[in-house]
Amino acid sequence: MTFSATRSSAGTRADERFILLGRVGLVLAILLVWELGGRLGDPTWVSAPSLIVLRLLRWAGDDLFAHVATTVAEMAMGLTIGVPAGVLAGIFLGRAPVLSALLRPIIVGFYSVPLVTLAPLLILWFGLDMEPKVVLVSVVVFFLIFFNTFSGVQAVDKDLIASLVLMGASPREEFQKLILPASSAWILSGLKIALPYALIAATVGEMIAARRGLGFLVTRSASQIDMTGLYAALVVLMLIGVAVGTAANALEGRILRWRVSGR
Amino acid sequence: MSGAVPALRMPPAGRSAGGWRAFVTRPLGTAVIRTATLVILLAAWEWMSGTIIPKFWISSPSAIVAVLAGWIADYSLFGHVAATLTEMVLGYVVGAAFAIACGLCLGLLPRVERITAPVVTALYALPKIALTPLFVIAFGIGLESKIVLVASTVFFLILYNTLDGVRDIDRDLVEALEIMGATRREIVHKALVPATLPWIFTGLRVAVRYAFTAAILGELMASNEGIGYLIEASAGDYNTAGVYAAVFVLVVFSVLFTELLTRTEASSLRWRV
Amino acid sequence: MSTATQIALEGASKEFVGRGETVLALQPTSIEIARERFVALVGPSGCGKSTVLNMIAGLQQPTSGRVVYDGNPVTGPNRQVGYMTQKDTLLPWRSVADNIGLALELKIRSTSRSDRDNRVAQMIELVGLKGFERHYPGELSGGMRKRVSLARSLIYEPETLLMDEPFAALDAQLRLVMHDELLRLTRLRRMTVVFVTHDLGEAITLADLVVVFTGRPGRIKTLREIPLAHPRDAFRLRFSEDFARLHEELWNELKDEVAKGTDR
Repeated sequence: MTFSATRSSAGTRADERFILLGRVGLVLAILLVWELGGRLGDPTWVSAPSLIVLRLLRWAGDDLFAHVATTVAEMAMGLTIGVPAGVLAGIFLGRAPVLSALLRPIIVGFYSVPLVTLAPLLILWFGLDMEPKVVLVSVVVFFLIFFNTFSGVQAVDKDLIASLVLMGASPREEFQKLILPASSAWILSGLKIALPYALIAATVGEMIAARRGLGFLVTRSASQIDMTGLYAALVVLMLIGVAVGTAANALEGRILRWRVSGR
Repeated sequence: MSGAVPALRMPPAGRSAGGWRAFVTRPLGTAVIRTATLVILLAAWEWMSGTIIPKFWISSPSAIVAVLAGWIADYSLFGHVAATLTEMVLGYVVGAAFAIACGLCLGLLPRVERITAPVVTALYALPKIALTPLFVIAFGIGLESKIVLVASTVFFLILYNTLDGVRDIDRDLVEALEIMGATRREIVHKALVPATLPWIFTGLRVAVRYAFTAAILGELMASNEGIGYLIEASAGDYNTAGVYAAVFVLVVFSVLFTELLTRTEASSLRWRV
Repeated sequence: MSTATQIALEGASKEFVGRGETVLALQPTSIEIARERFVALVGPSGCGKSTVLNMIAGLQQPTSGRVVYDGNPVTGPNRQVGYMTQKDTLLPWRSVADNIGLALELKIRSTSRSDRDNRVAQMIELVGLKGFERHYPGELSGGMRKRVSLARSLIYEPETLLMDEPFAALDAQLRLVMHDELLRLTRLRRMTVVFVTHDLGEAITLADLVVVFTGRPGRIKTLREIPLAHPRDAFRLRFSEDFARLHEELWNELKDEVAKGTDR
């Protein structure tokens, strides 16, 4: 009976080694099969790890880092704008029930629409450079953070608020000591989701219309039917994605140190 | 000393219900204000277009309506909507089926799951839309490439949900069943499936949005049909009215899906006013 | 012993509107509670006992009638009371010590840091949580969280203490310990206490006056003075004859109401 639930998560030393070997083995196997496929089959379509590595090295000496920097910069700027704006809006509207009620349909509308799909509109307005991507990332991030913050503020247990009020807390103290810490978990949660989305938004923008960036690398290679280049660009994108994902997970570690998690 | 005091008649304590605040928060009041706001905004938009702000940037409600009417009149709109929906549905079904199958298998074989985890994580980290050109080269510019895109997007989401579901099995329940003498098959039926189902359903629900987004994004990149195509084609023609019109269609369907999903589960939207 | 009235309900009633219906939770109720008295409210579930506490605290307004505290009508949150609810409202991100000291951080009290630390330490000692200062509520058992709640309510020495079935979730032994502590502390600080409970024995042990409520919609059925002498020994009181007699008498009053409730 090998349900993972009935097994302790640590496992034995030998177990761990086996897993590690398995993982390495799997990756090597994939690379090997791919390499063979490229050599035996048609390299133009299938390409091969060796070719990809060579291309990456060539790019590295060329302008790869400029493209990476562009994408990362778009993400960073979008986050810098979107996060604070989202938090502020979330807190403000979270505490203003009347205003929230009135704005509800607009907010629902925005929530329903996948904002990334509005990229062409932004490009129409702002052109091909970084601006529309930054705007796109900002907007996407803003709404994610806003919703999470808003929910967090709303979700503060009314009984907690009542108990603080009875103790004699001023509205400011209520905010500082209760609302803010209580919603911080939500805010961080929003941030954790926002990071990968920032990458997606930047990539989408670059793929639709751009002159630089990782998304642009992908479409440029594709338009030239340069499969090696295409795969190479995807690999770089994947690595960035993993980095972003790791950062997001690190955030989760910080959230809720004080929560005894049941799940 | 305490004792009962005869009841006094006094007016009800507390704030009196009245005033503009009460009106605004009642359903009728809210509806009135919202409609009024909408009408005012539309009117302002129409007026501003061409006068203060160039038509290129914001178009105008009348132009947008005209475009939409044109699309409906020549039946082209329905074709595009149908294309997007087809991509969505087919991709969704394929992706979900694979995901649930893989999820259950991996869940039951924890060692395999752990070995494949890094590869799966790396693939998940890649923004799936980046694969669109690859799919288009492989499958052409038609619906197939978007179906594959939708399937790959949906796959990971539902896979992770399924895995979470399998891990969520109540240990005590499994042990209790083991002691009772249940076979492996019986345990799967009586413990595994009930535990996993809610997670799978949650994944299925959430994935609808992603399927929609993936379809549209795929169309934005390369297609000759679909709502995304309408957006991109209009943008390419610098036809702002067309872009807005297509976006409007997008919004309508987005809201439709969201409402549908909200109603299929009590607390799907995390925030409420 | 002071005879001035601390709390008075004057024909206070409460209706709740939910799902299109109006439910009367509490019939117009009048009662006077003198200072430094310990009053227990007992009755079946849903009879409005918690509502009475909420109205005294000012968290809810009566639908008719009014609640008077210290001569003034209660129209908003009543900062003179400490309120210990059934559900503990500890802040999960704060340690035990920080939770207990919360009230003393507030500007309304202007307590110095060292003073606060001292009093927190005292309280922790008092409720027997020494060694757990740096723990988080999530790491504590139910009983321990209750003790933190109690400490938090007591630390700023409110005039009146409202308690809503605070010990319901504790095991029998711990409950006796808490009874003892509560009696001692509230008499020491000369607090007025309004205590809601299901447990008749608990009510008789702790209170000077027991108020029996009918089932929903609740109203006062009986008022019974508890003439047991202070200081009371919570552990041994249950075995005294007086206690048994009081219990018998009040149980007769109460059981009809409970039966009515369970028939529904």
